[in-house]
Amino acid sequence: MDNPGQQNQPKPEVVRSYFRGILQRQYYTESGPLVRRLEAEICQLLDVNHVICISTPAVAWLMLLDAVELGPGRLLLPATASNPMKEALRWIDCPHQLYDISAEHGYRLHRTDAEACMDDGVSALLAINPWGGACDLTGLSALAAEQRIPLLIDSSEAFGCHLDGRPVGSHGLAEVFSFESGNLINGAGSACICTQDETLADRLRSMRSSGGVVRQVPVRKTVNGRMSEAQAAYALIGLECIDQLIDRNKLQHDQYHKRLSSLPKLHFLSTKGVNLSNYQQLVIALDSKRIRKILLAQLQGSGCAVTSPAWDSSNEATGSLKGIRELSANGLQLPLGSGVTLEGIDAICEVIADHLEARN
Amino acid sequence: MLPNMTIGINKQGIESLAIFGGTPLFESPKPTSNLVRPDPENFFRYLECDLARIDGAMREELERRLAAMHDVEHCITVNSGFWALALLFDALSLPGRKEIIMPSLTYRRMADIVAWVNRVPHFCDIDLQTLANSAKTVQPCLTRDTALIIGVHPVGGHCDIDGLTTLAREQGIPLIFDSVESVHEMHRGKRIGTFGDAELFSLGASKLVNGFEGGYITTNNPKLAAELRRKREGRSDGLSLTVPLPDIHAAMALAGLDDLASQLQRNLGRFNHYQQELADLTGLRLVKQNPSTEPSYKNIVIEVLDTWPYTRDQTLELLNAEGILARAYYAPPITHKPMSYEHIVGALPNTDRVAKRFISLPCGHLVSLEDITLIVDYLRHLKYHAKAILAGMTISCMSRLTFGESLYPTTHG
Repeated sequence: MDNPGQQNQPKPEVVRSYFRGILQRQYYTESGPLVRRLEAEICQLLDVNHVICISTPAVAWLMLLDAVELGPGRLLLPATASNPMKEALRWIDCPHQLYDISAEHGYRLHRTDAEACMDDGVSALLAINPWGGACDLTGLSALAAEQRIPLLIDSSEAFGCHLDGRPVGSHGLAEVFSFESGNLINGAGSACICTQDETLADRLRSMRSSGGVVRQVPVRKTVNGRMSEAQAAYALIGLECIDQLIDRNKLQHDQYHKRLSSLPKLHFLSTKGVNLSNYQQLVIALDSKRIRKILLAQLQGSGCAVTSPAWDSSNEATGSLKGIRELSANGLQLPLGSGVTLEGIDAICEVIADHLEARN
Repeated sequence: MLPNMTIGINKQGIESLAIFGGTPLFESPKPTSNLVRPDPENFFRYLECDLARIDGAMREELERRLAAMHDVEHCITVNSGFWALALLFDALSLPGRKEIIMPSLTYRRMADIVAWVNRVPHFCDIDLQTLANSAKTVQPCLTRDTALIIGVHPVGGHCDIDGLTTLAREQGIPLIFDSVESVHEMHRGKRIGTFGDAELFSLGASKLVNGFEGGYITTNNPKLAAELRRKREGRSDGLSLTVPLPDIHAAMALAGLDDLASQLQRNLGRFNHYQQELADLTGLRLVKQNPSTEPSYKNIVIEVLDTWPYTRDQTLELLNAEGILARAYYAPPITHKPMSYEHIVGALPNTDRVAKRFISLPCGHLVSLEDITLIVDYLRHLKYHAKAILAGMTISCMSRLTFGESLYPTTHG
């Protein structure tokens, strides 16, 4: 069973209003007025110089990995790499090596783990900001700078989060945000790339399509990465109510916290590493693999969308990666979003509490 | 005094032409993109129906409708024609072989797609009658490394479907058709969509069915269909990418399909009007379509003949200045542009000839019959005042060059 995530569906009357405008303007794609507005609003919200909206997260990653024009060598890829990141890698002729996470750092990517794999043969460092929180952005940024390699970050789960007084979005060479329906902002499957680097932004815009190019620059290959006006409308509707969405997430998060925080052998992993979270996911780890396995089966059996937070790590070459194996065995991602009620959360917490308290 | 051949347009003297600073004929530009708008209420009905509550259900409904329209077993939607082609190239190319045979006068990103899937574009020439590739133009490009043949239907009419099918079968090479411009047509009593190993269509806003952005593949091969679905969802062992058609795009396309019969009538009306208006204007030839193929008449293509007083590019310049966004027909050819990846090009004489002679005229939802009358009146005006206009263009060009040289040091002074 999949965890559907946020599933923030726009209200029909708001959708009608936006789409009446689109049909009246008869401007459907090619960096239309809504896409341009969305890019400007994200620039402002995330305090970043360049935002390039793209049709899907996988296409965004493929474009980014090609546009950075990687030197020879291998990529350092997080063991928790997102699916779009992994898919895009298969289109780029570049070897990669996984680096691990550890319990010591709350299963979030940390400089120490990346440094263990670092040498002069690494051409780029990739990272993930997970679960409404952030990885060790300071440490990883410093490491990438020391090695003079680009740091590229998937921040799909951290849209609207703040770190040291700044929104997530302007770290590394570029950050990618997915607007798939499981994330905070539902942009009908679309995505965007944020960067402070003008040259990279020009390349990405020149690759994407014939519209929205600020300065045409030579690129190796083009794509169709156009975000439609329909996708932009959905994302703009999400931005309009971002504060309410985060408030709702926080309410649900607090409810989980209230019911679970006193339980033994249970640790909260989400929303760490930032000063302000979007609370879009709730992830816990249990000390007991056995109880976690039982809980996962029982909750899923009752139709509850509880999953492992470690994506499909079992399919990866993670043999020597202890951290990702631990997270796969101990972690639980609990439902949070528009399809969840506080009563539902109470019921889930009750099942968890029954098992953990019984063990004591 | 020249006879008054330009009753419909308010252009007196060459200075009134927009290229010389006059007011453009059209305040709102007239495009070659279809940009068809469905009935808004019908679109909203799809957006708010039960299908909209289940992820992917709208997409599946669209696939069912499109498969029925093409009379084909399988339809696989993708978020764009670009990625549909990429997935198809990777799925069908013969293992261990690199070259994909394609024309140069086609979708400008086609060679990039071939390069993305780590194959090599091998460019073939086209036939002067169909403006498309044929068995005769593909045959000389066949090598031991040929992995796939792409037959590309031209804007109006068809490529050599029978010849290419026979050639591909004899050689044991997969064949696909790029049928983006032949969506709702017939060949020998069968719908386009059922030929070759697979066919590719677009749901882009400029195409016959407007899905904002999108593409789809039709095939009667169940194994290929299953593999393409895996590729579209990022689940294939080969190259794959999560590029589903968004449900809101599917809703738009469904509303467009509901309106299709009516649109075809409107397109026919526009084509007939162009034909009627252009009948007495020598020097430009309207590319006719074969009614037995049930053409959609979406596109209007003309050939600039030797008797027309302007070159194709001069004609485009004069049209574009007036807000008539006519476009060179698939020009420049892909092979005239730099490519950073390996590719194979032989002699393409017919491609080079066609690339200089054809124009796509405004068409689609934003072009009325009155607009067409004005456009052809303007062309007539251009013809009958050609001597003065050409002289003016020469002076203007020389003046631009002179000013360009003298202004440069001034602005940097």
